[in-house]
Amino acid sequence: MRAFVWQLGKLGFVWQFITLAGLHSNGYISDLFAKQFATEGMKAYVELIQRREREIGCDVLTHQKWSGADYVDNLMKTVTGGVSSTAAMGKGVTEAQFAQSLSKKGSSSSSVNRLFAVVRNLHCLFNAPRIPPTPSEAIAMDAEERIQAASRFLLQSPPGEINDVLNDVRNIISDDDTLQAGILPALRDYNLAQFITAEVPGHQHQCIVSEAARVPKVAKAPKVVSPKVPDEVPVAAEPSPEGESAGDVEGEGAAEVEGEKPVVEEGAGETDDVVVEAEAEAEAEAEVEVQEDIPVPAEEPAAPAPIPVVEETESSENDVDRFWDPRTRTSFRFDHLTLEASDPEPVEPWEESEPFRVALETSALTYLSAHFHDGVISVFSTQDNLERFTVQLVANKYNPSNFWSGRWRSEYIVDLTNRKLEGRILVNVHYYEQGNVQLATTHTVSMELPPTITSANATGSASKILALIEKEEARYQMSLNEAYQEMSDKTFKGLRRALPLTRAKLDWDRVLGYKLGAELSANKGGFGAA
Amino acid sequence: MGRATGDSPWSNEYDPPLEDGTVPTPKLRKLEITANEAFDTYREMYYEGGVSSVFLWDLEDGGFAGVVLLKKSLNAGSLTEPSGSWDSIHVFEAAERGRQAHYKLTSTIMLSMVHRGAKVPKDEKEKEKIEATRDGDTEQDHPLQEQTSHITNIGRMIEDMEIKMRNLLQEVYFGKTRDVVFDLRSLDDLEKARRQRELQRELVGFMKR
Repeated sequence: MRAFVWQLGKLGFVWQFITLAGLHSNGYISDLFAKQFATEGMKAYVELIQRREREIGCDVLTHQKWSGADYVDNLMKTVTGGVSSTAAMGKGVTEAQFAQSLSKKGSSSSSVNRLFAVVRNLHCLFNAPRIPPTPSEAIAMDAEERIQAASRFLLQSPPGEINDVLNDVRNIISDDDTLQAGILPALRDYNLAQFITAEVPGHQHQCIVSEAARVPKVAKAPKVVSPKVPDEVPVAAEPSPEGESAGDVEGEGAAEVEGEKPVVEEGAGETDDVVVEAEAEAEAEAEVEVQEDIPVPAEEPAAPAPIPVVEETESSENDVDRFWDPRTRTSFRFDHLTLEASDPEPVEPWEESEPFRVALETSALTYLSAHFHDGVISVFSTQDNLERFTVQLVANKYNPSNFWSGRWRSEYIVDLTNRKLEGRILVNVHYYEQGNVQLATTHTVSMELPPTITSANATGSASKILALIEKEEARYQMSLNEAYQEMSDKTFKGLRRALPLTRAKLDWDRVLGYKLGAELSANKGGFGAA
Repeated sequence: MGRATGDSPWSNEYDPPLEDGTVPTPKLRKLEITANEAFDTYREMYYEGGVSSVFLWDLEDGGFAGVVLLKKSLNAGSLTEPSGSWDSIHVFEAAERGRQAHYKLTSTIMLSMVHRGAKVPKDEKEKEKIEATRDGDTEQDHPLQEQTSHITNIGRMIEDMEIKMRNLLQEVYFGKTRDVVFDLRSLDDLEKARRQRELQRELVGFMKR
């Protein structure tokens, strides 16, 4: 009985229809299920079918392809032109929803859902390096400690789930006002580190909101007076080496920041404290490193002034960050709570580095559409360095109905002066169906730029740089396979074997007979290699 | 867990000493000692190292409850070796009903694994880390010949639970996160694939005429 299938195969019978087995296996399980269903209803399904499927690792239970969801999803995408509810990222997704949930005092989700979310997220947070406080401990902590604990949780949110984490944290802290005020810095840090994307107001595409995209915070010109340059008028009138910038500058008026030409600033803004202290011509900071030279402005996040909640109020304008999108040359206000961009203003790029930046951006966009399904890419030039550019890429996938989410972030710094390409790739995945798994990877890249890459030959150099990036990312993605293999084989076994060396489960009766444990430890060498 | 902080099931003492710390009744304490020894063997067979502890406590309605804790850590000798940790927490309740006993078991496994690229041993940040938790629970009845049967019954339930969860973690969960990574970024050129499909469509169109 055991061998005839393969023996027939050797004789050349490639297709063998075992219809008897199919019919009777169906009959068997249907009979079993129907009988139990009659007395136990749907519980019979869970016990007899679903649990067993799970136990034996049956593909049908967890793999999307069997349910047809992927197929229908692709159909929908084709029909609707690229937007589908299960694959979309953006307003409807959890990340944007928490703003509403924060404003609603009692969440509308059912208590069961909330319970699941709490259990799920607390387990997820168990893996945090610091032990989270229990509810009773949380009440005993003072407001400051509670906010710090809440902030730590938020910073560890898996991709697209900060909404859920925030809801769970609200339940533990039970003090919405303190919470709202205190977590804003954490929210901001989280957004910037995670390369949150924003719909550029007035345009149809998204850009990355990160530290590299930030415009230094500036108060309204009349309120704060800079020690170096009292007001912007003399600066505006200052003749720029280019000559044509004066016209643009004059048109800006007293209020806004970003309209200034970088060339003008390079002359006037060399001393850093001028840039920060409410200087009207303060320009976009492209690099974190550059910002470190600048003394921290007075209106840092921890300012005592009450920070606005969900509803944006005009008076808080100065406390909200501004960022810019080089591609559309627009700067905008970004609210880290509602994740909305508003108040767009045109920005003039730095002329000298713009051609190379644009070439880099064009190549980068080609690379993005070649390898990422839902990605956003932004290329920034650097304020005081014409030969330094930052390329940032983020690709997200959220699938809450199937309990998973993932985010790929890459960042590369092109330094033409030092002939270097440096960067990092960070991948985060969260899968949480009836359990909780998180993957977090970090990979650093560092390579020399070949001599053919020069600022003179922008288009050719840009595509070569992206080719280098593509090669590195592909290589890394392949190596992840190996990492998984090794973790699954060696590391897992090193933690806990699938079965003891005896290749059988433990004989508990014998175990109770005598104290094996001590003997085993003493005779470890006797068992041979582990 | 009241006695977890500093209480040792091996010595039945609190460290630091606790005046009114609960301890099991002598009968239960005897069972507790045997249980610790049995799970010590279990630990050695499956974990080849690590630490195990069993705590039991009496319940008001006559039955008893307990927790079995298992922990194993792999510390990387060098930066290129893998490291990780496994923690099991099994909480159970036992109720005697004549010659049978009714058991409820709730288990949580917490797993963490770190893999470092062998090519860059100097770079501490280069790594892949997977962390997972998984719950399971079950309710079963088993025959009860004598007090030590409890240990046999619970031991088997825990063993089965751990085997099941380990398999699930290894097969379903790890595989799934890998799939998501490949979903985020495509190794193949998507544009090329799109153009090929369009070309195919065109050719099919030509052939139909």
